[in-house]
Amino acid sequence: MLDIAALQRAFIFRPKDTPLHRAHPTLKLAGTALMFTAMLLADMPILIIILAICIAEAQIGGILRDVFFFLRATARFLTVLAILLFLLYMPPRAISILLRVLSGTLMIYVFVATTNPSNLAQALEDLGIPELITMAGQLAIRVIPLMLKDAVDATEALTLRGVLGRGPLRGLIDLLAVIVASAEKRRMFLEEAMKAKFFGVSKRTYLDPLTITKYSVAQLLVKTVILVASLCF
Amino acid sequence: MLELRDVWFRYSERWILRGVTCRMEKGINCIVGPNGSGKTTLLRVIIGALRPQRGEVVVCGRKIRSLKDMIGIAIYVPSNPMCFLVGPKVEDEIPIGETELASIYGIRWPMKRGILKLSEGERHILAVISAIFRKPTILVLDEPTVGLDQEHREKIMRALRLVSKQMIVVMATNDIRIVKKCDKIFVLDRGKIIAEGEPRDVLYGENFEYGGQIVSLVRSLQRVYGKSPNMPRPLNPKELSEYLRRLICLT
Repeated sequence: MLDIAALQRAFIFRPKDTPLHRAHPTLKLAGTALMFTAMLLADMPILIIILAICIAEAQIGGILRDVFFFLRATARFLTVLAILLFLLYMPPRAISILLRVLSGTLMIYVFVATTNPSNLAQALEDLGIPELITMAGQLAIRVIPLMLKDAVDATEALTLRGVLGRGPLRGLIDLLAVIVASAEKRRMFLEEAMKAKFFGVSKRTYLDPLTITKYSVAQLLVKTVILVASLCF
Repeated sequence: MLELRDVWFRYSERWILRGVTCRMEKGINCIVGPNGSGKTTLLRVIIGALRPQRGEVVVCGRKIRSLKDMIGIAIYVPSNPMCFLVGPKVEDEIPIGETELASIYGIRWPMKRGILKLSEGERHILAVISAIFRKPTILVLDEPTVGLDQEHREKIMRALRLVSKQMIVVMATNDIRIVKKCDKIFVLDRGKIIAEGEPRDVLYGENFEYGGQIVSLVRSLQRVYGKSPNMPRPLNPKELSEYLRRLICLT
């Protein structure tokens, strides 16, 4: 259902010097939350605007190619979803739900792909969120590509073993068991590494100060306008 | 026979494999090269998981276009053996008794033992033996001895030696101690095969053996001889030996 190799490529964080990468994580998070709310409330025209904003942000952040990989990875899932929606609902409603799913996943993806996990943790700690929670979130984001790499390796190895590939669901439990076992191994390594680094003993020091850029404010304003528009129309 | 004909592959802009042409026959074929030289990518192209933009992979006269073409022909063991092992217990992976296991491979494990309770080295060996038991035409191994001690390394090589006459074993590694025990080695550098041949020809003399950095030595040679960093063609074993001999004399 998912092209895991493409998903792995899409989820690797690549530091770039773009306005989106330099934007303050808290403001960016607030902007994404506002637009997500707008997406839930909006009608078709505003949904199209939201989708256009997501694509424009991907272009600004220089990750349009990664968005393509992300869409390619989820293409089968989206196709199945689209067929189900068109079977269950009238076309306008089905299209609006599909647009919501697409724009929702894209805006979350653009946020994750353009935000340095350390900067996000730092911003959240500044807001008073405990380090334990921010660090756990940061590690989870960083572990996603590793988990996906294991999933790619396991898929290839098990396909050649004849465990996978002879049907849409056959061998899926074996694949999941392998991925879970591999994840458990990574968890143990991570736990040992964190203990060795005295994680949680004292407050973490961040070297780069976070600044509020013009882009951060501008995107927040635009997204606020979108939310207001979706409430009004 | 496994043949790669002018294989070019890239994920995005940068070419990872640049015109790889080689032929692998029954026996242990080893791909060596520095980190990032394209070893794992080459293995994934061989098993059909990645489709080259140019060139082709041919197995016994048949072109390989996807992973599905290799089902029943190849078995792939990734560098993380956990991605290969499915059975919860040893006996699910190796369908023989403890006595046979000990007599053939020199390994003494209770067959009821859970795979998660094995050490990292034991899991590597189990993955390789399990792959061998499936009797593929091509056995592809990615870094099978990474992080293993001498004893575990030798057990893996012993298991591979037992079947090397019946299948094409393709192995990517940086471990010079097992490279010298292979039948043929291919030195990959920046996506190109810069040297190939039998280990005794390519790995010249004691100095080379213990240096362990084949490619950096070849690069030094190229600097010494004023050639471009990328050799225009693979060196044959004789030429390479001559280069190495002269380098050792110079240094």
